Amino acid sequence: MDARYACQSTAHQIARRGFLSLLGTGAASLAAGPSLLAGLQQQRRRMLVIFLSGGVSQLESWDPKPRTDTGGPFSAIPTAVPGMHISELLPKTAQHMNRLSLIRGINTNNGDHGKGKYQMTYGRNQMPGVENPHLGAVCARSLERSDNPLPGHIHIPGGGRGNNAAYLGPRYASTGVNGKPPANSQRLGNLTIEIDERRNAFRRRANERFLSQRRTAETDAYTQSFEQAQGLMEKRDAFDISQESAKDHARYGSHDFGQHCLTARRMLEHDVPYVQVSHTNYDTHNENFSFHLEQLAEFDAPFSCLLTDLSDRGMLESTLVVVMSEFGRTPRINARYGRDHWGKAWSICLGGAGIQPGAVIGATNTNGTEVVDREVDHGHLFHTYLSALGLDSSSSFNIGGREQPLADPAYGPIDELLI
Amino acid sequence: MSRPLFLLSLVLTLTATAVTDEVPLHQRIDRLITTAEPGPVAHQCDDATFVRRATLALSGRIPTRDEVVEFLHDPAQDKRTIKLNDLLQSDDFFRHMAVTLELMLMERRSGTHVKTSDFRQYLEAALRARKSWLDIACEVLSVDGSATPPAAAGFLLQRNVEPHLLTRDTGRIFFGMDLQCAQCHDHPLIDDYRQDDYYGLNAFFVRATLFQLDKKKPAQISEKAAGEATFKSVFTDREGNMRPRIPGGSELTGASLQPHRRYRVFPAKNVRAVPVDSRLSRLAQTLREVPSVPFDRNIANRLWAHMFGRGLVHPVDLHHSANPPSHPELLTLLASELRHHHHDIAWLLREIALSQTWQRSFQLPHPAQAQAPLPSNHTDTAADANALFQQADEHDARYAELLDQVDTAVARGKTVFDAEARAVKNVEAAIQSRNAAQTQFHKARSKTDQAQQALATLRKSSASVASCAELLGDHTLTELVTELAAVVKKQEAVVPKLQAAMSAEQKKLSDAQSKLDAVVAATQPAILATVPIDNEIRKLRRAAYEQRLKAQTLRTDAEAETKRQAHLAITGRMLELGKTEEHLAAQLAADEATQSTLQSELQMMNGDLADAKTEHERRKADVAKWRGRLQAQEAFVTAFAVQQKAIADAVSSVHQLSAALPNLTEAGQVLSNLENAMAAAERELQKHQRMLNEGQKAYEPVRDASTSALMAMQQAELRVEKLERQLRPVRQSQQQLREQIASTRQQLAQLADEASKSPLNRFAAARLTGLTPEQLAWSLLTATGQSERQRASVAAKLDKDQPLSEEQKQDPRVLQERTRQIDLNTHKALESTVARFATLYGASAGQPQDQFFATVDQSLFLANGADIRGWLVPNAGNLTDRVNRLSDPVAAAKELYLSVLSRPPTDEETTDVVEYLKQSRNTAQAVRELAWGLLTSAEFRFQH
Repeated sequence: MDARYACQSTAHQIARRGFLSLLGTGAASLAAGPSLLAGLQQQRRRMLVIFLSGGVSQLESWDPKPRTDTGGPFSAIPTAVPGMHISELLPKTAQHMNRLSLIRGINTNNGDHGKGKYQMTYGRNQMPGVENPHLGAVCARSLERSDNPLPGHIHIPGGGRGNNAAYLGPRYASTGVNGKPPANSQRLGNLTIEIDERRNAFRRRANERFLSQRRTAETDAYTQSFEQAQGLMEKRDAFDISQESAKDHARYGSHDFGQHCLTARRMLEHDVPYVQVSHTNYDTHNENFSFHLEQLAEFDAPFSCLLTDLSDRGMLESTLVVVMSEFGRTPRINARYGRDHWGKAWSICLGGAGIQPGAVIGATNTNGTEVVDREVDHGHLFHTYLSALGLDSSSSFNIGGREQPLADPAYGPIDELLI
Repeated sequence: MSRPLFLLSLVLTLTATAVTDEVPLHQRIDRLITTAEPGPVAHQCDDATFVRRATLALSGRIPTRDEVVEFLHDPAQDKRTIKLNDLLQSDDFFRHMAVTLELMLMERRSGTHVKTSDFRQYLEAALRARKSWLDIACEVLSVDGSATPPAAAGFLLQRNVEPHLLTRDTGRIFFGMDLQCAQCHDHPLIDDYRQDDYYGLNAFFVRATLFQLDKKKPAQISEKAAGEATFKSVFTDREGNMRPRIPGGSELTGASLQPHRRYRVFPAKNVRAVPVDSRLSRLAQTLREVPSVPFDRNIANRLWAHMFGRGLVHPVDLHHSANPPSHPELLTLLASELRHHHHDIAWLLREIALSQTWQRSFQLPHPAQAQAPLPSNHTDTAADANALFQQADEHDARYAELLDQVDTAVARGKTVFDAEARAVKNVEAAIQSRNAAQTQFHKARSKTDQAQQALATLRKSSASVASCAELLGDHTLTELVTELAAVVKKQEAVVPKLQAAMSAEQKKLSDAQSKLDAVVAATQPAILATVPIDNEIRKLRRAAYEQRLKAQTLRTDAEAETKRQAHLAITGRMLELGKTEEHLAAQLAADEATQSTLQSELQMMNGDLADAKTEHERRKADVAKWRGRLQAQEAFVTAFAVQQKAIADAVSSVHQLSAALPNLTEAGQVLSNLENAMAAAERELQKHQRMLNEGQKAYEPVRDASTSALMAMQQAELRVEKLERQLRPVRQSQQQLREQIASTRQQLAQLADEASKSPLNRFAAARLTGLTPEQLAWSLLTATGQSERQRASVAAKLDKDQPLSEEQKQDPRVLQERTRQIDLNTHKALESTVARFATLYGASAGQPQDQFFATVDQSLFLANGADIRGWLVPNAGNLTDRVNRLSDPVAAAKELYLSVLSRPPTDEETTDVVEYLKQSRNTAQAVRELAWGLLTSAEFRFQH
């Protein structure tokens, strides 16, 4: 193992860092060196997912069908992209459509919340006996920054650790953020910084003596985790949005979703590879229209703030932003003025890193009851996200000698959408 | 072959056979490992490493300080063997192995049906009872939750009896094959994993379902008598259906029962179906009756991996020909020996632990210590590998042909099988109507019976009331008699109606029964019709499978051989480079010797030169001094000569004057005076002249000495220059040599790195393996003294709640039982603590648990978490308390190292601790910091 550390050339050090950073699951290492270096160049990319939980209606958002039997009461408005119209419920977002694109031909053929959520965030159909890592875990592992002590896979809101990294291991499982710093990140009692430094210096000396006899990638991962912990203790306030200005609080709004978006911005600014914000209450079997009026108004303002800020800070070109749901809603309006579960013809909105802006991919028919052009499903979408993040979505993780493909090998990305 | 030679070889063969029969397994392990291993290997580990390693592997924790000291001081020659024997009989062993097996079987799946602790207890009891792995495997795979112990059903129930999940995990955990990808198609990356392997295993589970009447009742397993593992490849559309078949085994045959005779309990709503022929039971039965090589190899490999941190086949659930065992003969030996010893887990662990291979140090040897590759003709074996691959290809070709025949037969049989399926459905429908009719009939019959009984009771009471009325002649009673008679009459009318209804039901039942009989009879031909085609398919499939297995064996051998060749090439190169390095080092040493000779000479010369310079300077000063003196003399001489000339001039002028003035009487006096002066001057001149002459004479040697000093100095300078000229190339060559050595070492290190990845090198040195969450928790509890504290408080509580009488205190059996109870309660008390570690340090549920990973959460937990902080507070004989009581810092260092790292500290480490304590104002605080530093060190975190 010594040889790995013998050469101190820059290239090797970078490779080694990359190598180490991929050690979350132990002796696992990516076989291909060059792809790793290529990966490093892309490593500043991040992903933000806004998950509209319950199933947002595509007809009241990205694929309006006004003046049809299924269209409902709302009209479509022009956007910053000539010819592209979205629902009038998203006036602020409409101004940003020159930064975003739409995929309107999604057919996931599923109407179950749990299965839909799995499809969209794991990129595969749920199957007994098979466990796959969450999109966030794949991102956290593939885009990991060895110099960043913050967790790489964040869900807002939430608490504690998720169990969604499968074979990638708990290191990449989601960390729920609830406005509080992670557990045990504060020195307690009479443990001052000086004492902590002193005892850590002793620990390091003990390690040096032991590791001079034998050093492995696993021992490095272990000793490095203590340095990361020290780093995290210093960055505790990354989780504290009270540090944001009153002006920003006012812009984003004091409601949960606004606060969550502000937290997300803070996380992205701290270069967290994957941030997912949930906005709930879209399961509108009753009163679809009044609910969407209310919900999307709450969504529209903070989301456009976020886009403005990411763009102003020059972060949008390195941040993939996706607004998704577990499925869409039926074109048919039911007796309670509601729309039901519908996975056969619906849309998502995405933009930023690696995505061509202002594009519309796929289409549904006049009243939105079926996909008529460029039909895709969650498998294609998963490949597309990973590709947009600069990853080779057809490659595999090597986990302790087991080859695990990043995305479902039966699919590929939507190439025409990628830059 | 000549006769004597033949005899000799015969004798050799015979002795060889005799030897292998008697040589204990651990020696045979070493022999097979060393024969396969031309690379450098680590030396034997020291006693401290051994006792830590053995205790961690067999007791699941580090040894206590006292256990370490006792072992280190034990003078016995065979103390390692004694230690292993002790460990294997300790309670900790059964507990730790139960946890280990539970993790292997459940992979941290926690479900609602069986508690993890209950499943562990079941396993612990099984291990204590010396149940074999085969027994345990059969139990957990076939219990239905209705039998005792119910916890054994955990394997099936915690997976909700989901057939696909069970197929995958049984394949992985019991047969070492992750067939998951073969669920939808033949495995795209692994040749050996086919869809019929997956569905062969799946056929055992496909009829089972979770059965739970309501959530409060324990879950059970319900099993149907019908349902086949049918599949269709999403790639090729190839269809098939499999009878149960374990990997490497034969498809189960056995007479297909008549559809109406297949159940003990026929399936119905809220009824747990029990088939006559349970496929789950057949799985266990098959394992018991027919030795399964994959089953044996899997467990042998997994136990090996438990001890070494790595399997002979690794990952442990990917046994296939492209991933051959690192030491093929060894795995075969372990598997067959384990079967021979009735799958005795403790026996195999002991043999492995006794091997020198297992007792190797974790310190890597220098690559140059590679041994010469063993005598074997490599080019021949390389050719062998190719030949093996070719043979494998031939079998593949035959397999493909046979598979086509299977397909044809399956296609031909489709109608027949469909007809059979319809027939079975008809029969089952008929059974259902018969059962329904039966239920109706039973209802009608019980109604009739009730009515008849009621009638009898009425008649009886009516009669007794009548007789009473007659006796008493009571008017009111007579009325009652009439009323009763009416009621009896009414009831008499009801009974025949019910009887008629019952007969009708009976008729219906008998109709249903005859219909069933008719259906059974009618469907008989359809069911029988499948027999020939079914037999044909099974036979063809069997033949095809045999071809595939042959190809697999050949290919495995060929792959192993190829890997061996690659490894030999690397180690051969390492050996060469090692020699080169040695050669260069020798050259360097020679150069260094030359240099040092020259250098010391140069040093001497430089000394000489310095001396000569000093001498030269001194002489130069002498000359200067002398020169000064001589110049002074010369000046004197010159001065006197001038004086003399002046006097002479004066004399001559006086003579001239007296000649001119003869009467100048004073002239004589003057002349006389002048002559006197002249004489005096003359004397002085002569004196100084003499002195000058003497001086000049004396100066000559001084001048000569100066000249020779100058020459000596010049010579010395020349010599120094010459030596320096000589030294220059020596220095240059040394520089070159050093560079060459460095590059050789780098190449060697690269090769060593490559070699270390080679499977054949897997066991050349002990591996650094992260402790499992449970090992880590128990080791921290042991090191800090927390488990002892817990033990003491548990013991105190027991003594208070159930005090022992004086008499009982003398009874060793009572005391032993008390100890056991204390042990048990201590473990229970610490269970939730250990579970916290499992949450933080364990891999996700349902994932392999042998992967090391480190997270920030873990480090934060160790750095700031309440657990460790609490355990480090000095208290009643725990680690920090013990260290605090030692006034000698050297003793404190020793106590810390023995307790935490299970070894005495080195001098350097002692100094580090002593200095740390010296520099700190608060010693107690410093002790905590030191303990923390060692507990969080890599040395503690890893098994080594």
